[in-house]
Amino acid sequence: MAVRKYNLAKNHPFVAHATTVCKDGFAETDSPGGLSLLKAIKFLYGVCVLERYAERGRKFAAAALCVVMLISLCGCSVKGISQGESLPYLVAAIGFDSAEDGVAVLFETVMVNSEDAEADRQVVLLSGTGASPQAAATAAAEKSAAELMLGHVATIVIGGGVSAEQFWEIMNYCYDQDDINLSAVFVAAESAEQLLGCRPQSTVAMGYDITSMQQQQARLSGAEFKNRFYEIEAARGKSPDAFSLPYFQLGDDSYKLAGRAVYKNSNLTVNIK
Amino acid sequence: MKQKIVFFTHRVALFALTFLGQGVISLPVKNADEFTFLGYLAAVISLCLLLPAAVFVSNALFCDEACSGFKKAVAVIALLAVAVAALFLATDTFEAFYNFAAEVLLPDTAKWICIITFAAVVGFFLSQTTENVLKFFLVAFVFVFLAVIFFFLASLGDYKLQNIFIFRLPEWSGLFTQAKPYFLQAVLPSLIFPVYEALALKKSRLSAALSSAAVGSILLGLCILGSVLLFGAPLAGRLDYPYASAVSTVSVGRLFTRMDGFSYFIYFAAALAKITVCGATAFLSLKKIGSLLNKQGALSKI
Repeated sequence: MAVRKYNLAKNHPFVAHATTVCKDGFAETDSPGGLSLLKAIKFLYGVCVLERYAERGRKFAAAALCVVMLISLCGCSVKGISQGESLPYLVAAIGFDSAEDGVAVLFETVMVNSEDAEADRQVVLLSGTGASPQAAATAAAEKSAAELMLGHVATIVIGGGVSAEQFWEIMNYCYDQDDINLSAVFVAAESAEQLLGCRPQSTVAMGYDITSMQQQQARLSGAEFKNRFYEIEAARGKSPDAFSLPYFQLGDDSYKLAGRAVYKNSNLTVNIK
Repeated sequence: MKQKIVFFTHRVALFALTFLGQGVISLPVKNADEFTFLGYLAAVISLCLLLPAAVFVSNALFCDEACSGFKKAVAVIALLAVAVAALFLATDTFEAFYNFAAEVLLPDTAKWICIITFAAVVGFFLSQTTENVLKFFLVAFVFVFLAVIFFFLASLGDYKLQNIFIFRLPEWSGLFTQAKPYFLQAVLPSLIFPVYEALALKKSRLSAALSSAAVGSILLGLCILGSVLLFGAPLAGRLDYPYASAVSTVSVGRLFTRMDGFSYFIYFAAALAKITVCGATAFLSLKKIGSLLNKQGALSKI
């Protein structure tokens, strides 16, 4: 008597099966009654002895797989923070200004206490100058007591004195930093240092405040800006590249969105108020 | 007593994930231009033409146990080629996922840990029964399907249709250049499905192959289209991981930002499916070669 059974049901992927295949893709295998004595002994041995260990092994393997998948899902590095090691600084904004010896970089950093998010929020501005944005960023990072995390950068501020060549270098620097999110926004100001030095109105850091203000203005006036990192980067790939950034005007410890800074071939050509 | 268990949906899910493979991580590639999505469509059309032929050849060569000496010789040579190709594809996929994991997922972790953990998972899957493997990949497929749809819809407001507008017809050479990476990374590897089915399940079904190719190509198409619509083809091509970059821009409200963590399972499941299928195909091919040669027919009858 033959039992029609689909090959897939009980078979190992690597084991070739001595079965015959019917037209519909189903195979015929011998019924248990047709087993030889040797096969029966092997079967009983497998059921009684090996299955127990196999079951344990499978449970262990399943648990291990779950752990591995959870690690792959979390997307964070498996790196513990030992006692005494300071928590990393979240960078909310990066500012770029022109300096005598090249470029000045400013990191607006926020330290969040992991045990109490509302307490001990410290906003620290770290600055550095160098011949290139990379050198300036390294100089700024050297002043930090903790690691700088660029994954939370919301705003990148371009100062008014930045030349086309420097702008190109800044874009290359940002592009090379894999941690900087492509949805971060670029804005222009007369001085990045002064803008990031203002007191935030609605959030903990100016980097987040600037994006909030831009969204608020977009809601109120309908003025839309295509100033996200990937939009600027895509425009930069075209010839000639032309894009506009929201222009923030500074007052006495205050700021406002005053218009647009229009760039052509990475050069600031005009400010439209 | 008759027992009929149909794993059609499971197979479609597994092969659809295999179709995504490492393509979902790396496509579109560098030098992509405005014809890149057209190139993808051309590659998918070529798949529709090649798949029936692959199913026919697989059934003719690899399913029949008793065959002539010449047919056996051809089958042995074909199986050897399939085994080599499958091993190459498995290695290629492993390398792509490993690079992605080492650079994006676990950048601060020693590279050998990434290799060992993923290799252990692959080994675990290869040691499982086909039934278990198919069940896992069906569940994984549901998550992948929902995630791809969610990420595509979540970016709808940011898409620029002009990124895929075509204002002139491409030349054949240009279209071929754009279609080539899709053909090599997605279409050609998917021709392994019929061989795997013929070897593991004793029969390759055209309906399963076409269905899985259709589902897989739609999912991969959504991933590629999302990247191109968001970034434009030149920038999407310049990025190391276009789809990962595209989903990293997705945020829901002001609270849920950086939701790209959910997309990591897509790459994991797709790479795992492809490596599992390719690894199993290579092993079964070699085993089949052994059985063909041991049935003292092959060499003596030539």
